[in-house]
Amino acid sequence: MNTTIPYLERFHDDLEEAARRAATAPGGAGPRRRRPDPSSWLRWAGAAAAVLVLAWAIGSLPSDGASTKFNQVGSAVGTAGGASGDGTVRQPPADVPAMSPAPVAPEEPGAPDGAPPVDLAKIDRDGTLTLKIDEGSFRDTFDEVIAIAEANGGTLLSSETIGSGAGRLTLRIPAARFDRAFMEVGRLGQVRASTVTGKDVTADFIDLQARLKILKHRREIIFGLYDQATTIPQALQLEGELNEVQLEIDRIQGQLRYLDAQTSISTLKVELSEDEPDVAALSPAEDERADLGEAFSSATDGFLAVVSTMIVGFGYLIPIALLLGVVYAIVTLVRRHGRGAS
Amino acid sequence: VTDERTDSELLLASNGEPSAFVELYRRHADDVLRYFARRTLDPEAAAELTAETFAEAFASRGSYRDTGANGVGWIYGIAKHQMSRFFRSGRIDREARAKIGIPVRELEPEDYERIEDLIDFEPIRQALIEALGGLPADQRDALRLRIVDGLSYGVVAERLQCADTAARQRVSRGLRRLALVLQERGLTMTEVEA
Repeated sequence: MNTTIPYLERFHDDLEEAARRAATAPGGAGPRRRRPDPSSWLRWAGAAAAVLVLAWAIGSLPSDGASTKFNQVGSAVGTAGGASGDGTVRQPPADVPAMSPAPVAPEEPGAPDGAPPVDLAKIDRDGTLTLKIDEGSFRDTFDEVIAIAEANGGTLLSSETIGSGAGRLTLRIPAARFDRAFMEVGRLGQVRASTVTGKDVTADFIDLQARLKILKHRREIIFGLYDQATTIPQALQLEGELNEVQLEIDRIQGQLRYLDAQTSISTLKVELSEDEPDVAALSPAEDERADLGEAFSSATDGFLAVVSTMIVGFGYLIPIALLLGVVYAIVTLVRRHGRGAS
Repeated sequence: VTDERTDSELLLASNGEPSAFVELYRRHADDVLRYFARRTLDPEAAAELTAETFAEAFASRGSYRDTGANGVGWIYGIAKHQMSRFFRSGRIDREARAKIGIPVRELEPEDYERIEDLIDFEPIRQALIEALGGLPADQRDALRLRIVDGLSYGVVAERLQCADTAARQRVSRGLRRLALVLQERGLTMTEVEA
């Protein structure tokens, strides 16, 4: 070695020692090839999984228009009473179906007894009931279902009979009386299956109302300006803006009416059968075997739901990551500047 | 006995015969150190970058492929990469040395002077004087005494009324900062050398 620099000589000795170690190392003298390090891959995979889970978790947080679904399956398919850990409301042992709590406020002071409670939330709720009824009772039960609907302020939307002992009815029931009607119909037979679905549109409703209020205020301002307009071009411009605002007001009012109708009237589908209803199809295990196409459809829906939830989560994560990146860049620059100054 | 093998042959042979790499180090360590010293103007940084470069080359010698070019070019490729990372972050990696089990060594007083001898300061003296104005006073004074006036470290320490080691550190840090300042001004060491 030609060098006269002690540091290089010391490193030379270190390198010789490292070479000796490499030569005598188990597995041969060859260096480690630049293969992907499994632990490195695992770390990256873990980090990616963590980000995805985080995105999913953020995306799953309650948001506007969140949809909830409660499935209730009767004792015929072997469910236990009470609420399960998976969020599904199970059917109680009795024939009367379990109900999800109605989104209502305590009754107003002074309200007459039996008056419907005041809605605090706007929830679009629908339900289905599958009943096994006694032999020869189909016609009477059919009429009783209609009577219950009418007694609760609802109507029969459509009906269908299958043979002489089975049939289906679709009822429109005021949302405030939906729970009562649901329970009363449930008492007419043995509940074999039931579902109640609810979609909370309260946030949409409040948002639309707020926007409507703002637009109406803007319309008032434009009216004021319109009165003060002194030239034709000014008046024409304000008229154009007024038209746009009015159009938006009409659109929002239409949406509010639609939401109001959806949440004020619920749909209840009732299936009656003197024979044992084919509730086996409602059992998850049987359902998967009986209808593979539906299973694929459910899987696709589930996949899309998870992906869409993650996309929502990324919508929150990306701006936060960008913000952190900017902060990191600033800190790095400040540190570099500080180091340079020292 | 002189090893007659080419650099490429040594690199390829070092996969099964690690000591062949040591021969490659013997051939090129001085040049690589000079390469770093003239670009960083910092003996500490130059020495550590040299060590890290050879350690990285030793650790990844399995990825070397003979493309017909001289094998030392592959070493300089690693060196260039190390230097750009140093200028970008202001830090010197120690991962490669840790990977092959080589400890990080401190520079001895003699190392500073020997490595500075590798740096031809004359062409860059004027640029240094201009850039000195931007340095902290203690580093500027140390550099002026050592580089511009050419005094020994003992005299520099005496003039600055500090320990010998402190004088060396001030010069080293001043040179490092100076290199960064010059680079920020778009004045690379390669251009200065020319």
